[in-house]
Amino acid sequence: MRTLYLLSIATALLATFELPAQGRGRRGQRPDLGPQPAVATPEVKPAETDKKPKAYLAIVGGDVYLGTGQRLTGATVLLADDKIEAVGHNLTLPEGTTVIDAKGKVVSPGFVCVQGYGMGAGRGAPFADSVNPFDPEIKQGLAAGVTSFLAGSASGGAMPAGGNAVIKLAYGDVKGMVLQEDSVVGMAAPLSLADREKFEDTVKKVREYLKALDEFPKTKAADANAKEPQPPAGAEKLIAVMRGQAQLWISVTGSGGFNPFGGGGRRGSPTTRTATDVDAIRQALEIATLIGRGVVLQKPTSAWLVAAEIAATNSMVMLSPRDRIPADPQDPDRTGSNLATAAILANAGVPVAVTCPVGMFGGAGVGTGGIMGQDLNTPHLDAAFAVRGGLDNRKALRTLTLDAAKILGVDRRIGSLEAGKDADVLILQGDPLHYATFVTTAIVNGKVVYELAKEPLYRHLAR
Amino acid sequence: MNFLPFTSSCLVLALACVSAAAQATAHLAARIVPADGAPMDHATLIEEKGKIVAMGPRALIAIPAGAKVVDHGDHWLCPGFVDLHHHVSGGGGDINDMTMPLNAELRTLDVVKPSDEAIRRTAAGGVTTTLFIPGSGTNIGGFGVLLKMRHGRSLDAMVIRKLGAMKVAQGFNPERGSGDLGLSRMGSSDLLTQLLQRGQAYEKAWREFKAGTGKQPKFEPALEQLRAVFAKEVPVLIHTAGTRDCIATSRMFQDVFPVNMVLSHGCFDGWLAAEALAKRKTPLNLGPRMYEFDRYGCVQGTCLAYWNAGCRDLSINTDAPVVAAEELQVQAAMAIRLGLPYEAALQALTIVPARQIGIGDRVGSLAVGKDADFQVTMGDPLDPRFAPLAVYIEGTLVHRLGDVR
Repeated sequence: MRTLYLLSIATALLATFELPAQGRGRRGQRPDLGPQPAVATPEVKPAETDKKPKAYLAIVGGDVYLGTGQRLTGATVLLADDKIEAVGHNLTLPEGTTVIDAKGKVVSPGFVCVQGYGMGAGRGAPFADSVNPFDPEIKQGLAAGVTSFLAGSASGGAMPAGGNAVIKLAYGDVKGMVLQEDSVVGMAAPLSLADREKFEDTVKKVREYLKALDEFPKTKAADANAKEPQPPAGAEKLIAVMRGQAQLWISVTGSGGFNPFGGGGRRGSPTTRTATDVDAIRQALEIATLIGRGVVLQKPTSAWLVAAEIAATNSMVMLSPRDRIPADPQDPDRTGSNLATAAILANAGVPVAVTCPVGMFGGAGVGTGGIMGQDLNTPHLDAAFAVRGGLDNRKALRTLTLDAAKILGVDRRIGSLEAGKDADVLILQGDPLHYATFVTTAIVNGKVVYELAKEPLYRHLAR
Repeated sequence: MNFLPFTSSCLVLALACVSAAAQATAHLAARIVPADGAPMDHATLIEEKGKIVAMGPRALIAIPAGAKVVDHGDHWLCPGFVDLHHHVSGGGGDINDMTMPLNAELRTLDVVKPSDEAIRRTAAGGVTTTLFIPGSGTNIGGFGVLLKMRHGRSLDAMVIRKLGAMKVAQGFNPERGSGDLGLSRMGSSDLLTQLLQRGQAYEKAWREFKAGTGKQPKFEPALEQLRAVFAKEVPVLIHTAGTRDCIATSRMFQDVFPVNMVLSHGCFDGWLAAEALAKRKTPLNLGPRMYEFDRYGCVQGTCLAYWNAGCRDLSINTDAPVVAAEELQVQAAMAIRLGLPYEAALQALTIVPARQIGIGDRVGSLAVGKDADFQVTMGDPLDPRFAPLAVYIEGTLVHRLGDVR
């Protein structure tokens, strides 16, 4: 035991040194993965002579959907390198700015898909080592407006688990593809009584640990021999959640199965859905209260019945408005899905992200796998169904932009056109949620990575 | 909008019909989209006993005395959609009878459940007529029933034609184990051909007997329903995907056997056969998959590929529940996105499938003399952002927005 302990200290020490020769292994040379546990990194200031002048790119004159639900008519989006410098009217463009004329077009943040696969995402952690920046599916995703998506697993059982990354469709740029690993962890509700007790106990331990960690500098000052607090075993993911470093997604399971082919066969097919999951949602919200942070409900059927309760815990919802689950005939007013769910939740102040429907053949995430082959091509139609259910057309764009980024826990980086955020921008032919609108240009990390007229995908369609 | 076959008969007949009718209803709308003619703005549709008795610009249409007036304000009237590939009116229970490979004696009429929620949902998507067909698990799945999506208790109120179409599944799916089909596609084609030959001979024998030129054939229950196929009273709808099967289907059901047919799906690389099918004027019912990659990385819209090759007899399906029954509109929207002209897509949900299944004189467009099956929309009937506000079947309101969640 003592040997193990020493070994772990040795490993920790090693990890703090820069060892370039050893940086080629599976875990070597990983890019900045966002906020890590508080480790002070010395700020290295480049010499003035090394400073490259910023490359400016301005998208001028388009109708700019900010992603927040607002729209600026005939505005300019100014990008500097890989970030958004400014958005507004009458901006002074720095000398040497490249200008893209977007007059008569629509400018919007790149779409963020909360579930996806393929599109160069690689096999798993560390994602930075297995992404394929030249995967042709990246172009297809960009053509549909997708600039970021969550790849990997965000599912767990009685305790948070998962292994995933927010992938950017930075075609050709391997370093630009992983925005953040493990910004999401998942668990399932309802919990059994025993699991729930264990979970509550772990939350308590994590809280004590975080408190002790917080007070450690003080404790250390008072007593030089004070030992650093150790995290409770097996609670790393929960610690990340309670520190605000990861979003907790909870898949909710209910009762009352439905199968469109009826009971005669195909039992257990993926279309078997639940008519009510109110109890599971409420338990998920109790978890939110317990950890003191909002959670994300994954495809809840009954969210429309408890919108105020969800809002009260600062929780969020991901769903497909195209998933239609019939009511239980025995209890028609309190069961089944509701086309208006996205609108009801948004009006209650709950951030909502849309994803693709659960299909008969695939369709578990945004990709090319479904038999319709449409999942990857129609994120905007999933949002269109939120409009069908009563959500304001402009606000509905949030389900693919800012709210989706919040649900992935990366809204400080992506999801809206605001100064300081990543330069992930779309230029579209018109209303982003109209079925016939195409993306004409997609920009990721400040680089033009897709142009309708230059790619083979839709070039044959004269428009 | 530029409609190809412009018809103005609606205007002419409209004026003739001003007789007082207690049961008549006048529907006033900002626009009427007949689907097989140019849209009319500020128009009136008069319905009586389930039929359209007059239709035209408001100034030209007199509202009969005593008629009920429904003013739809700024909204549009469009024909109810027609889906020829629909599996969800059975209220549960399998529609793949997997014991025998050839089931020409079966029919879905026997399993319709008029109170099933799926029927209500189908109507909620503006779909008023469907062909409820067996699955593709067996080589001949049986006969589908042609239905109006009138949710309720009475089967009779729903049925347009008991034998709507014979469902044949060409390749792939029936090879998964629907009895003894031989060990190759050649085997299944042979068995199918043999049965069709027997059916053809059986129909001929009965026709000759009825005409007094032959003796009475022996009654064969397994072949009885095939008589309707070879008498061309009932078409054959053939589940077909891929180039090879598209050619095989066209050859078998257009060249070898003289029947009315509809090639359904046409997906995957089936579009490579588009030119051959265009020459034969093969009736196509495309979907659910709406695109394929060509070998150069282009997203080839399935409908566009057939359209560009000259196929004009082209309708679109959902294959519900593969695509939800109420998303027929989405299928058309996808087809337009991928290049199919708007008018062709609108007709692919309305008049074309109605004609393909042999009821083009009753449904599929708004015209005098036709069934008053229409939907009230906020605008473009193909924009998935808008569900129909109301749906009427034969003049009766069957759905209002909000009736189903």
